[in-house]
Amino acid sequence: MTPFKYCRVASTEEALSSLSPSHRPLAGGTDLLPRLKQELIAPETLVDIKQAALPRGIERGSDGLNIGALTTISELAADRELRRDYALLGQAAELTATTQIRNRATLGGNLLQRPRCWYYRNPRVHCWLKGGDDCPAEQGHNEHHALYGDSPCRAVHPSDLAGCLLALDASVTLSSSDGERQLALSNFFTLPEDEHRQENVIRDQELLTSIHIPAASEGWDSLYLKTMDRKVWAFALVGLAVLIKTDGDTIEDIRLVGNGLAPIPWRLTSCEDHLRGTQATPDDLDAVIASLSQDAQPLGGNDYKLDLTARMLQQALTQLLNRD
Amino acid sequence: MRVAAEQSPKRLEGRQKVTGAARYTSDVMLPGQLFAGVLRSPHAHARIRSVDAEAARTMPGVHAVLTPENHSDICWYGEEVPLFAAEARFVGDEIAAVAADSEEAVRDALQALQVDFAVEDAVLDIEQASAKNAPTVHLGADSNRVADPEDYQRGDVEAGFKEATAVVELTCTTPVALHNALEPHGCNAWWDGNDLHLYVSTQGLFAVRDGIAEKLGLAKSRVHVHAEHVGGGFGAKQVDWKQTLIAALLSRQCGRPVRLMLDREAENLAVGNRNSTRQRIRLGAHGDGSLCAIEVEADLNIGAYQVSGEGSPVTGPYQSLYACPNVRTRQTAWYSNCGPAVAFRGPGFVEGHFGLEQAMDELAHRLDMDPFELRERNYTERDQVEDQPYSSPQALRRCYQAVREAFDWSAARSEPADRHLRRGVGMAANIWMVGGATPPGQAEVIMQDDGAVTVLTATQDIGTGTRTVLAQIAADTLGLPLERISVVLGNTATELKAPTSAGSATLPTMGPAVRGASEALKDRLLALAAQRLQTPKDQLELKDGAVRAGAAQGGDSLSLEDLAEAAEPGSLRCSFTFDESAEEVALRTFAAQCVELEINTLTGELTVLRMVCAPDCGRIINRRLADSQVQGGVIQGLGFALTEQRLADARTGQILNANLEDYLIPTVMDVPEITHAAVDLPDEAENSLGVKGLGEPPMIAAAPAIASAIFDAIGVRCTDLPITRARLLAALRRKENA
Repeated sequence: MTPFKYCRVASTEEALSSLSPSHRPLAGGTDLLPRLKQELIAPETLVDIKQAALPRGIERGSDGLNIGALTTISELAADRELRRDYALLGQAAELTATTQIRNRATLGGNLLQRPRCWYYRNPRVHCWLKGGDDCPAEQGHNEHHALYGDSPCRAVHPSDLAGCLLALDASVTLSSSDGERQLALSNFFTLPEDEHRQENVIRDQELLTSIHIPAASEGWDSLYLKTMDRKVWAFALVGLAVLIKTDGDTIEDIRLVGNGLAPIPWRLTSCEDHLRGTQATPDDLDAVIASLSQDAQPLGGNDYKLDLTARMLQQALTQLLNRD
Repeated sequence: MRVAAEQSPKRLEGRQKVTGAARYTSDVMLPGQLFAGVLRSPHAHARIRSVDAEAARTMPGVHAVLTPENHSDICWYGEEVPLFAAEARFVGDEIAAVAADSEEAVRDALQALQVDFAVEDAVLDIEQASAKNAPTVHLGADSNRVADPEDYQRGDVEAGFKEATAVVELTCTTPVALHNALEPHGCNAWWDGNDLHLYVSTQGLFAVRDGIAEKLGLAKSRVHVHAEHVGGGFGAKQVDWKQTLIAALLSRQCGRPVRLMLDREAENLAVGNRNSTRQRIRLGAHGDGSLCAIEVEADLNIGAYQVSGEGSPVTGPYQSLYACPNVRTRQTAWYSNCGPAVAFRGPGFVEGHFGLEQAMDELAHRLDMDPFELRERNYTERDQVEDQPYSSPQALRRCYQAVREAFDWSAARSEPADRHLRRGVGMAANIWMVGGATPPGQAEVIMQDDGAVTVLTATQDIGTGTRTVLAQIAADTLGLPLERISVVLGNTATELKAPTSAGSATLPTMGPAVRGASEALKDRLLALAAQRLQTPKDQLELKDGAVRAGAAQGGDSLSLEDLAEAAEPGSLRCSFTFDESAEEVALRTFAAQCVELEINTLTGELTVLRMVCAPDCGRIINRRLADSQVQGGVIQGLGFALTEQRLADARTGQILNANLEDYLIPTVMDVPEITHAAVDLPDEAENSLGVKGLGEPPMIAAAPAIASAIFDAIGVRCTDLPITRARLLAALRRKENA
């Protein structure tokens, strides 16, 4: 680990003016510190923004929620109103990491965290995402890797909350000394490509300051399911964020996002299309499940994720449609 | 004679441990302390052409750098290779070492070392290692086979299979598992003139002392090993790895104390693991369940080196657990370009029982027999390999009874609430090849001037509660409250012999030694009191800190303080050497386990609901600590069954999960209620206390019991460990498509 300087900033302006490729922001640090140790980054200075008067907490308005980027995952998990209006967010927050990490980790950092891929994180491996030639997971141990997404990187995005927020049509505010821009999450997350080996479009001088969720509309219900190789403290094998609007037995509208399936949270649009307007009968489900395979590029070790996603989808629909 | 079995004192050092006051090796800081680190191979297989240490040597804060050019006369791994590798054979192999003022300076210096590698082809698993024309781990060797296969045979296996009405054939695999003791390996070395002091996290003080003395050409009496508290071992600390010697060499060169603690990654790369196995099994049985043939071929991946003295008898259970006249086993060990394997809690038997007990469960299923009944049908009271009766021939039977009862086997399966949920129950049994003493064990018991007692030993407490049980034995013998006893351990200076804490040997070796020394002291106290009270010795009783004459003798008493004061200086110290081992009987330990679990057949989620383990450990001295051993063993077995496996990249040999994030040990949420169904059957053929070891048996049958419960729940047999979500889903699909 290369030595670095530490400074603490007290205001948003100070924070924003400090940022540069060599001056990186430190909030909860639950991903930043491991990346320092794993020699993925070697910043000159860490700019501690925890006391920078940046937005923190949940603010309610007529157009929805603004959640400050410094809000911790624990604070999200504990917010009763949030759990009432956006059940899946509370569930995802509760299923994230461990109590200790949730107390420390912030929502902003959660969305910005880099993949936990065991090749990417190993200092002895120079993979494509780090600037190397290829993705070693393609022919290696890829049981945790991506099924979807046309990217040379086969790592998956580690966040549970990101998929839920994408399903909710959330957007993020990116601030810099030059001003702010607001981006829908669907534009914020991008597949890593040769010229931009990163899962999002934030720039070095920008800070993710808040997350906006549109007002909850009537008649929608939601659910987040997460499967892991142990009961707690693991990243999702597959996470499934489901928003659904029903009319009697019929699915009027549905939004599905998979975590653990692609380098970024992955909207399962063809599944949505197959379910919309149906009663999710076994025949409908067969078509949905078949559609999961359409764009998938399984690597051998991760083929089970197709099956697992299909099974989780059945479970989610059973729960949300009160069947069984 | 009964040793305080029902009263279970708490661990004597418990408060120190939970408050952080207990001193472990990494807490030892000496005046002028330096720190050390090791440069490890980034390649699975490479020749080292040169190491350029020029830049590192001149860096600020750097005091010494050792490279393959230094100490090339000191050899390792059964004297096969130099201390610092000329040919690196696994990722993590030691190439060079640095001592510096700070951990940071060490890291910088290690990065400044320039190594010229010539990368060679590597093999990572049994398939690759045993393939025709495979690259060899040891360049120039004919093959990767470590030695000729180990063969065992009794009776006529072919004839046995001809008699069989039911034949089960199964191939099982078990993964490389990592010990992951909470405290990593490490050492703080300090030379006091010509005397070398080593603070080491170890399971064997004397193993370290003797090994280091030999490597450095020192008299054993010049090497002093200290280990006040040790944060777990599980077998990986029963041999001394390179870091102790490296710290000693660096310390000698610098003239200052040098501390070399491994980090978690190094811990998981270079200082031992459980070998993986592939077992091809055939069992043949008559219609009544009696076995007429057992055959197994086991292949083991032991990593790059055969660590000297290490064996992993995977075929042992096949030879001994069940009565069978016709048995043939073959075990072949293979080298691979991974860190070397070493004993891990029940080595060989954990792996072997998984295969054997899955085959037995399958046999019970084919014969439509209760698995307990099948085991009763094949019960043996003799060791069929040694042709001797077991020291405790009814012990396993008692384990079966205890576990069956505590689990309520006949009514065990409860009903799940959801149509996708299936519940299953499973059982498995095990034998363990040891559990008795590794003599000699020596103790000295001293009465202090104030009547308190010190128990002097040179054993170590690796977290099992050795201090506490030895104090209990002395307290019980001398009629003193526990708080009047202090136990000295973790220091070789006294030269009181103690075995390495391995093979569950500590209590059965050291318990009788402390008992013997305490009895001798008691005898001396009574003799002295007899003189003072003018009462025959046999009319006196030693109890509650005083010697009392019976009522007929007037009921006079003398406190231990008074006796201590009256005694000749130095007369109230007695030592005892326990040097026996059971003869003409086979000393073994056993266990049986039951599991209930639930599987969501839609999502493949598995929840273990409860586990009951009934181990045979002879007499129980401390029920609380025994429960703790059982829980620890069962949890480690649960991890082995469901989540733990070291992953090596097949192309590069990089270990992908040498950390506690990706190597999944069970969390508290994965662990069900674990019940210790105590057997408490003294094994007096072994020693007068009737105690045997308990460290290993509770782990062994956990994984097969879980796999059998999975079969019971969903009707598919999972033969490859660990049974991950992906494997369980594959099993569910097989069932749905059948």
